[in-house]
Amino acid sequence: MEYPEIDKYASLKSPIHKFDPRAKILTFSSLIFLFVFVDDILLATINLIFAFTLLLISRLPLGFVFDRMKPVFLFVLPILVIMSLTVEGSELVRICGVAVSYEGVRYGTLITARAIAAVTLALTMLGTMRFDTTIKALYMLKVPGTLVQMMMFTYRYIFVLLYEFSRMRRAMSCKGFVLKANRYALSMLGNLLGMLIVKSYERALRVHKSMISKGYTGSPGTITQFNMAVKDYVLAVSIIGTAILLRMYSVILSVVS
Amino acid sequence: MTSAIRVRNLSYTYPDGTVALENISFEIEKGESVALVGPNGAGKSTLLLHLNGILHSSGSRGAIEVLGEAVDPKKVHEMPKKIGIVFQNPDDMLFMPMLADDVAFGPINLGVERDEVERRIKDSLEMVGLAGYETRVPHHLSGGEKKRAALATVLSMEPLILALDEPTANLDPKSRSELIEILKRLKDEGKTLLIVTHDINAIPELADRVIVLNNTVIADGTTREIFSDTEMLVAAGLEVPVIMQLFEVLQAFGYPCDVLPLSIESAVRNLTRTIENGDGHIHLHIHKHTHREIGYARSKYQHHADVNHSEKAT
Repeated sequence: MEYPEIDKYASLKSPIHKFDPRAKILTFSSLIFLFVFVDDILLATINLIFAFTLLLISRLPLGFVFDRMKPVFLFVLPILVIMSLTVEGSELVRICGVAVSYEGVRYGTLITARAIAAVTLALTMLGTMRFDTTIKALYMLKVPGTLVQMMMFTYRYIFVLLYEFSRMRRAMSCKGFVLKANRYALSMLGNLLGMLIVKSYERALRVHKSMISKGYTGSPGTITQFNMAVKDYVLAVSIIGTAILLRMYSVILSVVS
Repeated sequence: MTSAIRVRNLSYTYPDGTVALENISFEIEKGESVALVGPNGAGKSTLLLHLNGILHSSGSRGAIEVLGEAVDPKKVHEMPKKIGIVFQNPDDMLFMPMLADDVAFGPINLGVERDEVERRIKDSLEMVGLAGYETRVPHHLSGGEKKRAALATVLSMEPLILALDEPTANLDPKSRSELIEILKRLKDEGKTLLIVTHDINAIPELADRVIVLNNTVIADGTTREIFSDTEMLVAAGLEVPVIMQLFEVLQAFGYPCDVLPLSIESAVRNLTRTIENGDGHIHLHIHKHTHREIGYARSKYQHHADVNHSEKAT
């Protein structure tokens, strides 16, 4: 079974891989915030290109990244379609009697470009360091412990849950179950998911007991140390600086003209 | 002398009303290695979780002392220094993204200094034969490696007592023997061990004493005393080590053996002595009672056969 490992290519060599984990998280998070609040479609497109450039610099296999972007498209593409058909404005084209507005296409494209740029940045950030490094960097950046632990446990146990799900699914197949588009199959799938939730809950209780038996009191710690070098500061300032310049290009242009 | 563990009249009832433990009392001395056996649902794991106060609730009655101090459910976080519990399922114990983090988790919680934590990670992983696995991801380890890794996460807290819940369950023969070797080493180093197990054949190698539990303590004695009490073992749904059963069969063939060996090592010693005493030979024979005696020896622990017979009878 293939697991959805986000850090499969964390051992590659690239400037993004070498970037200090804390600086990387701060830089990429800043970029994501800068990119998602853009209103101009041209700027959003430039941002998207910028995000892809960073992805290319990171040398992460494009197939690996696009594969993980599929669920995002599932959410974003319907928005593009719905916006194009529902936002009022000047008619761009009429398909089967339904008007597609220019404003709708514009808003839809803007949202799509923002979302893809943000997800590309997030995947580039998470894919270029081991997950445990991400967790430790988040602790060091004083991100609330509860939030970090929730992330950590979700990632750790998603593999266990997937394994359990596939085992139960296989057991059902061994007993002659065939997934069909009917009520019975849906009800069986519901039972399977319900069982998975019960098992997850019981596992959570056991893991909690195991943590308490190792002296856990709610405040986790780490002994890892990261060392910020000059190159990390330079890289962080360069990336964020470029993004800010892009964000302000219209202001700069108006001042110049 | 202060006992390692002292349990007095411990009873526990689950919230749904199921009685798990009933009036349990026993004492384990420092350096002792004790096996806790019993059928499924006998309350073995429940008892283990009471030893560091995790399961202590309104359903619990009685007193537990660990290293002379009463177990206080409000001070559960202080218990790992005294008693480390290794859970049955290693996936419940390995919850960090990297193995070294899992091993460091306990010591960090105990406030151990950074350098010391690093030393403990190294030593613990070395002790369980996983040196160099520091950066490995727990969900990529094999079943045997996970079991050893789970043990390392507890060893790193350097507890004086180790309580293990079915350490050899679901392991292949190689992983099982590796784990037994690690536990034997810990026993030889004088660590107090309490091992919950169904692995009857491993007990003679690991424990000097056996406590038989079936919601209450039904027997407590040396390994030999317990394995000599056939009636009690059968009543508790247990059996004796295979090597002991083999020598009972050999006795039916006339093999001279007053004390049945419990392990391969003692069987080798026994055979060597018998061969030496018999001028290089072992004399076995069949007489008119041999087959009856073999049948008796073989049927003593066959629980399933009994069930089938009774089903047929009904």
